[in-house]
Amino acid sequence: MLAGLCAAGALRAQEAELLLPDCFTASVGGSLELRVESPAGLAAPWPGERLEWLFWRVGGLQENRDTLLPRAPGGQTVAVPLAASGVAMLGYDARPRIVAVRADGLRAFLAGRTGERADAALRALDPQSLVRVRSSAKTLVRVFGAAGELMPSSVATSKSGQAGEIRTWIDPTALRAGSDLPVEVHLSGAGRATLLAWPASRALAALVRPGPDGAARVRIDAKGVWILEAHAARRLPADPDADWEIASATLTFEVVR
Amino acid sequence: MNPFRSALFAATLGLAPLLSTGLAAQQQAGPQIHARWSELGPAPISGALYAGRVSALACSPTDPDRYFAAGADGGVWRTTDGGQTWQPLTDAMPTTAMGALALDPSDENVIYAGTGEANFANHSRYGLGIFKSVDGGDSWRHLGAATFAGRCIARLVVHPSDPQRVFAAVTRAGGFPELAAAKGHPGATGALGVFRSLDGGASWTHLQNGLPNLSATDLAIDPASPNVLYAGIGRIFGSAQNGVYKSTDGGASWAKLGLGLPTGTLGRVNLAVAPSQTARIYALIVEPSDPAGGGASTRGAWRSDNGGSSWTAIDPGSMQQSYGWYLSVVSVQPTDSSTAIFGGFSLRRTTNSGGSYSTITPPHVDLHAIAWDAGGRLLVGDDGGVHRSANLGSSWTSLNAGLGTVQFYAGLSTHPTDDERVLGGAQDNGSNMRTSAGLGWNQVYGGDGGWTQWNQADASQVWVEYQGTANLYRSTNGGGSFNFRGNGISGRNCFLPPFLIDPTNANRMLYGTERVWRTLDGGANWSALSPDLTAGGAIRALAMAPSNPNVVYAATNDGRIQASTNGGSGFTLVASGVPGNLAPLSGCRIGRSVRLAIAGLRSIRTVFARRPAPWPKSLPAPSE
Repeated sequence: MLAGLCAAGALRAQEAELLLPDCFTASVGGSLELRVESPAGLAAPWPGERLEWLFWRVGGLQENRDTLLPRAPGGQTVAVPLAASGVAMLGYDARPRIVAVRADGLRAFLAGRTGERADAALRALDPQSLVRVRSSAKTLVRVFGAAGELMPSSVATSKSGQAGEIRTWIDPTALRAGSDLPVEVHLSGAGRATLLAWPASRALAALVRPGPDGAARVRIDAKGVWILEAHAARRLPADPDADWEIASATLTFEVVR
Repeated sequence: MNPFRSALFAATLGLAPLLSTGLAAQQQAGPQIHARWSELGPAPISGALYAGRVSALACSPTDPDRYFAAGADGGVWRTTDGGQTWQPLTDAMPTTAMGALALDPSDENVIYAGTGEANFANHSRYGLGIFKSVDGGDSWRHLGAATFAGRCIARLVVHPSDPQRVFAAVTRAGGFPELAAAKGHPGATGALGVFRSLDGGASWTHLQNGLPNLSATDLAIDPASPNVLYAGIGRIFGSAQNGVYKSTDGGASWAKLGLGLPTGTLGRVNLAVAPSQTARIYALIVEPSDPAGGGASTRGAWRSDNGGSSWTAIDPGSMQQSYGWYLSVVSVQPTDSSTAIFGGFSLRRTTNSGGSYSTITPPHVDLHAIAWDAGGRLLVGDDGGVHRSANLGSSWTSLNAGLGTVQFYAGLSTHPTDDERVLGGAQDNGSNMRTSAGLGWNQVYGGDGGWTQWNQADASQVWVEYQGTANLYRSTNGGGSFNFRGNGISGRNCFLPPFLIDPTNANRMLYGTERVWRTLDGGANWSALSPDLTAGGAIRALAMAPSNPNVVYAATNDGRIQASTNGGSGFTLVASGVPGNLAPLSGCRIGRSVRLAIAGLRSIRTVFARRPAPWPKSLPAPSE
């Protein structure tokens, strides 16, 4: 299922967004600071008004917001309170947006992020394409109780309901390095996905091709923060507004054992 | 104690080995056996506090802490403390498959429960009529069995001022292929659509004047003009006759509404009347399902402000993935007609009559039911139980403590020495382990939990799977972590393929697709052992004789029983056409003789034969 290794890449307009907390552990009653980065590790503006849906779920509770803005104008982080212990799932769907992408950039993105070969169709791209970008991001954080306890949790394996989602069938925050992480990639209506997975400490990502049902598995071979990034691309020959659609979903979490 | 619903029960006498068929709870149909069972849970699953799928909800109109919840396969439950605790109410009734709940507006102690989950999945069990209570749920009568058995009740509506007048929306049982979930019930192909009772549910009339004989997936009454009813006709595989129908004469005649609504072939239809502005109706319509259950995405939502004379599209966006046949519900806030809630895979809210939407998904996706309590709070029933919001979905809390509605699939397994420890796979709630006394279980694996195995020679080794071929994982630390162990397996599969451990050699295991696969190294490598044993289907159950593990049986989902006496290398067809339609095989188990468990209409029948042959030429029909 491992299809190759890719460089983590550089920021491009059509790329995915990573949702990251200030810390992957927290205490109940406290709060998290959330920020957004590109997969290349570059800071990105908090999506703010671009948000379609922001949520956080922990311990049988869930909060939903249409938007959440930084406290300070121009700030790039938002604060989220945590009212229960266990593994917290936090995520968002951004509103679809259309960006103009040069052919070489789109070609490089498709080859690097979706594994598309440089076939005739890709070589014949228009000098500039309009791409509808759909991006979803989520992260998992361990929230300890007042006595330092961490309740076993089925939150990490629950479906978020996002438009694009990397679902994990094992709580990755409880994994030991060396374990397999089974996942399912869902990028609604966007065609067959590819999945990149890498620890933040490493420059190369494993490229995995999920099966037709989106199922894949990732070997978690190191401790630390992990980044999973899924993409699907399709042409939109009949769409009046865009030539391509690229959907992405990302997941971040920390392996501590 | 409930011998039927799928939350796990332990038998103190005799029948525990049959638990691994996943059907043992149904085995105990006679009330004399009730005392032998005690509930083990999960209620709820830890962490996210999930229960099992809830298909219907009803709230007291006067007491903000009094609710009724219908487990899709868990019977009717009541809370009187706002969901902190729940009591099962229908454990002694002949089915726990539930589709609808309604309280009599004139007397909230009169409760109707429509049986048969009208959500059309393979795991949506058919119903046996309607249960009625006149004492707030303490006791129940069974009504309408002859009229409705084998089908499902999607909605029940009680006339607001004439409590003897009750309406029922009736659907086919579900499944793929169509009617698979009916399991051959003779009532499965009976009349569909809207039924009316004029005597409080004792007798029923099929309302046909203007309505097609198709599944009615929703029904609503105008509370201000109760001779006005609206029906959603929504055969899930599509029909040009699907749509919204209206009666202005108490159901005597119906006309299809059209202006502004989509035309052509539609799928499931759900609707709701705004209680505070009864000329306002919201409808949610999905695309038809393909034969395999795909393609049923959101077609759209529509609103009428004039009693259905004309409609305006109010697109909520795609919210049902391809499962709109399974996930579709709409409700209007009781005091604000501009606030409506649309449920599917996710949950959407509009507060401006459909002008814009917010996503308000609760802690578990897959929405089936929406209700409003007497305090104005929003409740939903989903694949994870019951959740409630006091602010229209911005914040949710779980109400699942003690709600034992988890629907287990086949393949439960037990710890070799500790009776308190059980491992089982649950519908949309993963594989869960009970590690100590009590109702709480820990989820050890996600997805739809399937068959499990607990190595009887090494308790630290447990096996789980999730839906699909070869999604097989092993833990060597009692469920603390898992590694993939399905290497080499391919082929067609049941939703949750069966697998077994040889009780005499834990490195030897079998796995079923359309063929039997074997590993001799504990799952590191698998190879195909048999040819295709099916008639186009897949193996649904495997069994290995404890007395001789070379004797292997495979039951397929197309009605075949295959037997092997050489460990699975060669099989002999010992039965075909086995109640695939009448009562599909759900598992088989070998003792000193062959025991084949067959899901009957109200009970499991077991058939015995000497091993491995001869097999009975004809299997007896279920008892009713």
